[in-house]
Amino acid sequence: MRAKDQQRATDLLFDAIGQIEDRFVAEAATPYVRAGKGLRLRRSLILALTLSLVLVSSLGLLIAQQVTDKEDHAVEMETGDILNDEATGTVGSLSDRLSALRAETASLRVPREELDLFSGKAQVIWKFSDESGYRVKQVSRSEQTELTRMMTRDPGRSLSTTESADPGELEGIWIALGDGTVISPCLRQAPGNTAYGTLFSYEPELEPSVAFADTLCGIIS
Amino acid sequence: MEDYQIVDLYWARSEYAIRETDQKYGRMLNGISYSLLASREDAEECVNDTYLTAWQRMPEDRPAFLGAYLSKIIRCLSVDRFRASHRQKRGGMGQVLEELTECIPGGESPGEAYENRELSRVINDFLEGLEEEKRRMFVRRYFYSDSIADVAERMKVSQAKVKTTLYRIRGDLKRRLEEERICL
Repeated sequence: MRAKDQQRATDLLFDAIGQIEDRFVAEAATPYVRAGKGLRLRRSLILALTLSLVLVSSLGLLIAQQVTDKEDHAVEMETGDILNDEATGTVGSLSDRLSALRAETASLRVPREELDLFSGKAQVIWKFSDESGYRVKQVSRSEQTELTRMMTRDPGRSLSTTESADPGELEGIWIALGDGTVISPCLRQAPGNTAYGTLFSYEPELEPSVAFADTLCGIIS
Repeated sequence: MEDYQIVDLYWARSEYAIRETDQKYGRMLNGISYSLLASREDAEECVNDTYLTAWQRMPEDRPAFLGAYLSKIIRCLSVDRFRASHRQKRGGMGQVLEELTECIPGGESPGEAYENRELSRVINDFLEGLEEEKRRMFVRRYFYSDSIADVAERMKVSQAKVKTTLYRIRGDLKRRLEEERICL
């Protein structure tokens, strides 16, 4: 093949590679997580297993709820009852409670570029609107399972379309499952509210339950 | 801002569409163009041209993966600029093109009729059949024109492994093109 023809052929091939499917281009733009030794599962399989686990857990809990009493475990909060006014029955929002822990969780702040949603470890991530960094608390698998179980079992109070939760200082809170999957306790659990590889902005749909807030604050403080 | 939200801005002809795009993808697009052109000024111009092209194509287009959509545009613009300037630099696009000559199937002489769409179909099928690690290496090297060192760092493997893997992939692609009787 003459050099000129070879160059033309190469150009054609190069141009054709430029028209590959968007999903391949997008896949290569995301960070690559190398599986550990002896555990080479495709990321899609891990995601499917995680979502299946959440679904099975929620179904099992729904069944159990019909024959057992509801008993939410409130983790004692080291911050005391500042936001739990038992006399009036009012309880501060999740945003208020996280704000109360700002000083205590200051050491958990990291810049965005240090966030790793594919670390293989579950994390609770939250951000205040007046800060540029994110607060990250790595949680154990059992803690993550407990939190997602609570989100499914008692998602909290729905916010009507005409009502918007006072976000307070909290810009967003997410739970990263470690395989790229990201959910938020302020959104209903649904495929459309599940992100992959990114912390998404959102309009809150839910005010998480008191029990969830108790557990979450107990874990991160 | 999520991709769908940025696309909505384009569709609404909002002045914030370009700003949000630049904030989210500007760096990546600049990197893609620079890898091909090895010139900061040319890369910046291609980035601006990409935004203009996206603005002109949306509405009409509503890409699901905005990053990939923009990557294809800037790659095309950068390649056109490269060819227009007749640069034959070592490194960057020149070296990538040299490697791809190994994929040209043998057999019939060029001049045979071909379907560009058919070639793209074969390449997509080929990529679909690759393991994820190999596919990522191929796309990073031949779509994004990353250097071998950058591919190795991104994939967390040695440069030697990247070279070996890409060499084998090129061979496999060549055989696949020959099996499909693709003439270039």
